[in-house]
Amino acid sequence: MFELMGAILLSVSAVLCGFYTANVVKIRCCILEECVTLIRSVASQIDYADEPVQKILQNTVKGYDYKFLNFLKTVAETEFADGFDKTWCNCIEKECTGFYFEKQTVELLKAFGQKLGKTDSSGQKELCAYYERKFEQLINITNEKRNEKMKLCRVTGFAVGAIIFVFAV
Amino acid sequence: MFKTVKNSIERFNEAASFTGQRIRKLLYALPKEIKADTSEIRIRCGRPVMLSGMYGDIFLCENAKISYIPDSSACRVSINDIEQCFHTVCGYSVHTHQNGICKGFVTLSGGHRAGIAGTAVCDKNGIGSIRDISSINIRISREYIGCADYLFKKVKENKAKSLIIAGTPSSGKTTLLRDFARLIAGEEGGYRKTVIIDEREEIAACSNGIPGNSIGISSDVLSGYPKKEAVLIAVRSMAPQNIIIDEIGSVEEAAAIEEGVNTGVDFFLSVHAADESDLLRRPQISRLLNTGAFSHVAFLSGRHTPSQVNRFISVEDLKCLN
Repeated sequence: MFELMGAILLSVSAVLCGFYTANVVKIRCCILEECVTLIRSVASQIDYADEPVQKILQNTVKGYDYKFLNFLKTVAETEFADGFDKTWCNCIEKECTGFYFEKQTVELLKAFGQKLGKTDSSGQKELCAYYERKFEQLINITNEKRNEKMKLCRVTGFAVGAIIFVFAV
Repeated sequence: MFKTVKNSIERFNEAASFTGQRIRKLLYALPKEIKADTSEIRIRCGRPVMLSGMYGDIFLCENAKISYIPDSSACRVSINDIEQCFHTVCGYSVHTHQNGICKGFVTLSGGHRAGIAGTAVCDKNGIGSIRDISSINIRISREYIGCADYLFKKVKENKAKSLIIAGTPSSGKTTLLRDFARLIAGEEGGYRKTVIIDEREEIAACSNGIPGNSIGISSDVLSGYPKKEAVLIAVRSMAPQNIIIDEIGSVEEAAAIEEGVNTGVDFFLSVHAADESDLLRRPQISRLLNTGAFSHVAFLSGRHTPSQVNRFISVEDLKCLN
């Protein structure tokens, strides 16, 4: 009886663990997708309106409801007394600290902001295209991880379920 | 003395805020008298920070004091300082000011102007961009309410139609034109419909469409438009009675004004010229004077007494003098 209970608990915890991991990866994907949205928005505003960086960020925050990149609102509302790049990095360090933010994502975001507004229009377009590609690569890698974990979760669930069935019979 | 809307010290601090952190701190700590009389902050890579104004040229020291000699205590500008200043001047958005940078200047909020020197990168169409910024000259914009009263009175007395204001660099031509716009497009001028062609965005200093300086109620501003195109746009679409233009330079601009003059619009414009002979030597000005539309020329005193009219003479007298 105890053995059966233990097996059921093990099965449930394995499944929950699998779901949780898949969820974390899903949120990380959402963050990366928001990064791509941000970069596309910046690129189009540079291309069509030649707006300055602060105005770009203000428009971006107004035009899209960012669920994870909350630091954008802070940057858009801050005066860049210490320079834009420092403000950008400080805000990221303060607000992108959760478990869902991978180190690689944070570093990429920082690097993007440090180069934003420092070159002419064609340079900025190149910059946006480069970081868009980088974030898209990260999305693909994260999606692959997610699929692998989902497979693992399914296989573990099946295996444990089969064991329970054998025990019960 | 003329009234100022924002006082000179506030204007200085506003302009100083565009320099890098280190230089900004030193500039903020300067005595009020120096701040009030400064018209230019010159930052040159590897050399001391220079301030120009009514007192002449002085150098900024590391202890936030000033010196007439650039000795060892002078605040020398590093590459990092100039880079910081450049990015601040561009509002951390170099791409937005690309055209201005190629022309050698960036207009700052508040109507100040930063002249930029560096190494030009040329392409088929001319200067494509500037790299290795070596000098930045921040010219502090001043708004002296009432500085054009005398000129306005003279224009009324002489029933002058179109007018040329001539002066040397830093003699206050833009400041005078700005106040003149306030008068002519205001109550004193009977709210005459006036278009201000503000290519360098120094006269009105518009931010989000709202003028940062007093330019009269019935004035419309064409900010950032090339003068040649702006004259034609103004005449065709805004139906003005007057057009105000700062710093006429090229023959093409003069040709556009000539076309505008023929539609019956009065022009008030400024040019770089020290005196009568200097003015008449310029082909574009001779061309404008020959249209017969310009009745008078006002010469300014110079950089030590900015925006003060020294001579107000008719074009006929001017031609006789030479």
